[in-house]
Amino acid sequence: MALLEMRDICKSFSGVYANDHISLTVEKGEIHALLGENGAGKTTLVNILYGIYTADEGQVLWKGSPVDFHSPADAIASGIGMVQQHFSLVRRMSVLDNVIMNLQGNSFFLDRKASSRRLMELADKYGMHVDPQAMVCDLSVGEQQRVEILKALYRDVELLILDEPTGVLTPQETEHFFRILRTLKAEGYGILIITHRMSEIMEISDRVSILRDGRKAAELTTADTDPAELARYMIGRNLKEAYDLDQVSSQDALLTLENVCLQGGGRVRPVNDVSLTVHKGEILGIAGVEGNGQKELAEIVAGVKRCSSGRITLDGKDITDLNARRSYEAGISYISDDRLRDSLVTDMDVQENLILKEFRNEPFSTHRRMHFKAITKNAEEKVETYKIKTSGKGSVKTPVRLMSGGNQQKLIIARELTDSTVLVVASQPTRGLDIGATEFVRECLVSQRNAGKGVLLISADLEEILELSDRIAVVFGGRIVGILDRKDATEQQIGLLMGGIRQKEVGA
Amino acid sequence: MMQQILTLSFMTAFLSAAVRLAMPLMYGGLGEIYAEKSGILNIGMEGVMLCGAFFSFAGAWYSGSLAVGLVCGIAGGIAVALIHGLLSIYLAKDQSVSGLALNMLTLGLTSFLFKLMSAGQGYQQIQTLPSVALPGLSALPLIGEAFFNKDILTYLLYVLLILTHIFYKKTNLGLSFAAIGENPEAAASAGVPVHRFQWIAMLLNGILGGIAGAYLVLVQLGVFTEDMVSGRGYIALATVIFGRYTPFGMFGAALVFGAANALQIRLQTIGVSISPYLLGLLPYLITIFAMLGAVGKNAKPESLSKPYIKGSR
Repeated sequence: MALLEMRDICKSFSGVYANDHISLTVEKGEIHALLGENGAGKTTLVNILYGIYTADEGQVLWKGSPVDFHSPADAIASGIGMVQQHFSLVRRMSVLDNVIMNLQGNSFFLDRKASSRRLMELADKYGMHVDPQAMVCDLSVGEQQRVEILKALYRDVELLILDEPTGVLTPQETEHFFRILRTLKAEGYGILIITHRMSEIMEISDRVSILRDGRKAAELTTADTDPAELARYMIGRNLKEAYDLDQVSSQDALLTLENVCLQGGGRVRPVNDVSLTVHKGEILGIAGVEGNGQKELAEIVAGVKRCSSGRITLDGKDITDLNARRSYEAGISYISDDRLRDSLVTDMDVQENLILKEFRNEPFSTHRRMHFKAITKNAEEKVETYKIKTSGKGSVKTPVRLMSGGNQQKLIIARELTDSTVLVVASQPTRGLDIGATEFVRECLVSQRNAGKGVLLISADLEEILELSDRIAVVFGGRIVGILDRKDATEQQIGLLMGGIRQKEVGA
Repeated sequence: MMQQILTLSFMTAFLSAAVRLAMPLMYGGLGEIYAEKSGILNIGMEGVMLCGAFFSFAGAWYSGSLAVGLVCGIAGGIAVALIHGLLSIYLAKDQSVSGLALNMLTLGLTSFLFKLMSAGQGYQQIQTLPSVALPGLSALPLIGEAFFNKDILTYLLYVLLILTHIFYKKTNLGLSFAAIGENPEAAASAGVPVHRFQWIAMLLNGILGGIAGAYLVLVQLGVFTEDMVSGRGYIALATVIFGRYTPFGMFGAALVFGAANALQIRLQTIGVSISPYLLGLLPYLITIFAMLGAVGKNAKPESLSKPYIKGSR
């Protein structure tokens, strides 16, 4: 008898099927991976299981008997725990309070001493060290994830659902995390893990179910499959093997940063004495755990922020003090890591967003009057070229907020990559995108490189960095802690640098 | 003049007045703590108090019983708080707009009903709640008179403050109630029924706000006048921020405001040569300075005044 069985689950949102007759089983002591692109219905499915949504049709069987969850409380009471993609921790409460919140076994008055003891025991058992008294907001992302898992384990769950658990971890943290999962598996826990990283699925799972467009495309035993087959089921075609980076980048410096610093509000400098060079026809990857100054660095280069000291040149010209508009005019394109905040006006439509940086210029306006015919024509061309799905009747007049993340990103790329582009600053350009859109974005960056332009690629995704970069700089605490050539770089090495271990010690 | 101020009897009377004047702020503030810690900002506290004041007066006037008056005042407060709950929890509307609208609505409504009730004859007065000296404690110098020779509602407040403190610090339920104002999604995923708890918090908000208004009538003045709350609801909101969302912090903050008010009244009576209108500004000025002083030390619940909609992120 399976621990969990979901039978013919259907769920539609305003007439569109998010889940169309999906069936799934998880056994005790099994790690079952759920794979699929964004919008394939993975999160909907687990949310139904966890009682956040109610299924329109279908049945959930827990240990053989039908159950009907109306809230997470029901799911937890039955023994199902979930670690959500965006952690659900109360930041300004202690680790302990987060773990024991609303526990069924709690007496009216909390016994924090006993709970703390039990939490420590549990943490020790699985090698997840946390300080029960620490405030959650003071913890690193990896630590917060440990708290989430402990929170579930503390509730005596038998099935653990993990939604994209490794997206925010360094390779070392991921390895540690997988060790924990293996221990849990050996103890008989059932684990349902959502991920889109093939390598992780191959490494950790026993079986894998692949969803596509709300339907179950396949269920495979991991040992009998390979990443290419998984990708085929997931996107319905073969994945591009590798990017064409054969053409050698030139030795001409395009962008140089000399001792660039940014003074933050506090005592630490978000960007501290950064010097680097991007050559023509080169992709320089910046690897690092998020929050180590990457965003600030990107904003300094793009002119959004001004550095407090140091010098920046582009093609020999000093651009240190240029603002965002002048930087753009100098040929710097900026793809921000936060599309909704930095790159788009979400209530405006496609055609308006496409001219946000050019609306002052001909042919879009003359003498401060806008020419909507030209604007619409421009938009229609770009939508065609970049295959942007505007998902709406009005086509180029669709408000951007109604579009999917992948199409929003395509729109930004269509706007930013123009003929006058010299340097592309791309910050987490594929974050939250599905495989198809990711591939498209990466191809765009590579084609810019091959056209002799420079690309500064900032990404927390190591696979992406290794796949695309000619050279890789690693940031930690606002400093560059190492620059490696693509051919010498290993994931292991970069991972250590990302964790703050110096290049000398890594032995590179 | 300084000699007049520095006598023990003056100080005793001053402190006693400060506590008395702070009491509506404390009830209102306590009600607001429950609401805001659950994520609901009730700017309509002014309206809750005003309805509490009017209905407690009407109840006491028609029945001749202060207890009936108190119950009516509480009911009036609950009604306003629950309308706010309906708008901000059930309909997920903007809480500031809803609160302000309720303040204006209740101002008009209570004035209108009072006109109907008094049929044009101005002054109607009811008996006020007597003071009961607590044996022993009330004999303490200075603070005995101020804190322990008061009406029963004041003593009830002391008990409620302690209970609230214990509730949030020590109990399982209190932890959940605090969590829904910080991160309702997190609370929900731990199985906390967010909306139900927010309704309960609004109920408490109404009860306590109702008592705050009733206190003005049943203890302090014995009369109802139009717009008699006159900004105390807003000051109660300030005491919560100034007191960093803790019951005892709020208690201290409310005492400061009460003292400011008491001081300006005393100064007027001993005839300081400052315009009484300027002196009347004192409590409000202190509100502003308190806000400035509280800058940077943010204890505000992180999801305050953001509607929680189940299943959305």
